Amino acid sequence: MFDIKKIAELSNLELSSKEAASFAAQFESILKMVDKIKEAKSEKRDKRSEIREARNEKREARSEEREARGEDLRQDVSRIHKSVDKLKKDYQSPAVFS
Amino acid sequence: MEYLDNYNKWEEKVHAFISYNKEAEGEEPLEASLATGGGELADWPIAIKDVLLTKDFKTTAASKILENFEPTEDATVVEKLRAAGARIIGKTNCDEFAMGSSTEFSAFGPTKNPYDLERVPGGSSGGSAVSVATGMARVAIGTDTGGSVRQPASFCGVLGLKPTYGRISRYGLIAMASSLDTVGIFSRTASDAKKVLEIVSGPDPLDATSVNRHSRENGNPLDINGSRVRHGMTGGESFKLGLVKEVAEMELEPEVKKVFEQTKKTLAELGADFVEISIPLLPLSLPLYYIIMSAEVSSNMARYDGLRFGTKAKAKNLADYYKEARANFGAEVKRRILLGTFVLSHGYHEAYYEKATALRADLTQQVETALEHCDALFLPTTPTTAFKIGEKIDDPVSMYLSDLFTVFANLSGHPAVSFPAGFINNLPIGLQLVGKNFSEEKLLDIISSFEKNTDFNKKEPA
Repeated sequence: MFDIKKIAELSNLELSSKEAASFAAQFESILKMVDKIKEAKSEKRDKRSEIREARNEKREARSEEREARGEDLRQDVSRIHKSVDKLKKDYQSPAVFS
Repeated sequence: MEYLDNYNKWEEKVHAFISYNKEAEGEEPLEASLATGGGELADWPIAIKDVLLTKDFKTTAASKILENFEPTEDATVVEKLRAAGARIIGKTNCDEFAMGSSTEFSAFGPTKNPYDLERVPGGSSGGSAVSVATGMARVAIGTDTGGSVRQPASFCGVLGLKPTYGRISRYGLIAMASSLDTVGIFSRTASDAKKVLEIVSGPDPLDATSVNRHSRENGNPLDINGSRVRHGMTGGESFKLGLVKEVAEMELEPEVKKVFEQTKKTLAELGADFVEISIPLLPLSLPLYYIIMSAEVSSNMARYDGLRFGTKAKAKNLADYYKEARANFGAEVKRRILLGTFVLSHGYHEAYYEKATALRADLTQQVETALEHCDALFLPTTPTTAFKIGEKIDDPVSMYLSDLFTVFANLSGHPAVSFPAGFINNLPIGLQLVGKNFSEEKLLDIISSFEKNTDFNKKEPA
């Protein structure tokens, strides 16, 4: 759960191996202490969670919509490219200087 | 020169100061003193914790990282003290960046408790507490983020005031955890603390969290609804103190319990009525505090990267540069940065930081509700007396437990005062009053009447 090297990297801290070992051991008891909040319930938090979940659902729906719209656009662009290529092939430059 | 004599007598033994100006207490009055025609604090020797900026002293935050940092301006609180004529005598030792409960985490060596030189003075404002306890300063300024004024005040037998969040400007304070940091006051008497509070409190355009409820400008402070709060006591009035049920259920040193019961009797004789109240989340305040504080620490400490602040590094790429510059942090600072980064990291943010902030709001509400039934909460400041130097240095959780009764007032923002209430085996012990927002004067009045009937605040270390 607590990867001391990864957290140190994120914190821009370089730990000696001795420091890393000592902190890792100490964090076991520190996390045991802070984990006590997991037992507690907060009404405010439940409301926040509901709001967050609703937001996430909305975000997912929007991203699916955008994805679908993107697919349509991609198909349109591909059709346009094909038409342009066809036009290039069919078009003959006027032989003004020949 | 009494204070300078005490400096000469004590400093070598206790190491309360990081820097000191012997001339500050000399015969020549200071410029500020002259400019104000003396001022209300004329000639008061005042010591400042070394996390507050001073333009005539280096400000190190007791860290190697800021060893040579020379600020170009004073913190607002220092500026106000100078304007009132106070003599800033020096910068006091503390835990590095105010992180610790024993002053052992200073990069410049530990401060010692004057009552027993083998014991800690508490922390993080240990140097400030010792400077007042030994008579080296009349008043000292400290900072209280989780008990850093009240816990050392309790261990050193002096008064320690943590004001309402926002009452004293924090402009010029080196930030540790911005939603919890307050500037506090150490003194021997409640009247000294009251006088200094009156001078240093008030709104400050340079600190957005400072509050415009200043007793000097507006008469009595305003409460949260904008109505006038009754300002202090006129004497002989009865007052109601709340006894927190959850504290009574916790394990306390029997001797601390004894002092608590004796003080309760004395306060009852002075007009106190007691009422039992409940703050169900109080036992969780310590884990809540360590999650929120460390998250804010990890953010505030990011500026010490060798580019914005801190020692320059030699590394050639940016990632290594940061690491090299930040290698000078001490163990406790690193521990808190790591914990803060962890509780804010992807996958854990919601379980720790977000839950803690929601529970903090619930706790604040519970403290508010409890204070509707009484004038102040009455509880111990610390579960024990001062512990031995080195005893808890490798056991952070055990060290953190000394803040068990202090952190909740920082989480809720309420004012709290620790006052000397007794001695256990010749070691001082303090008790604490936590009041409604902006009721500092009332708390100090209660303590003042206690001081008149006892002599704990007059005792000095041998």
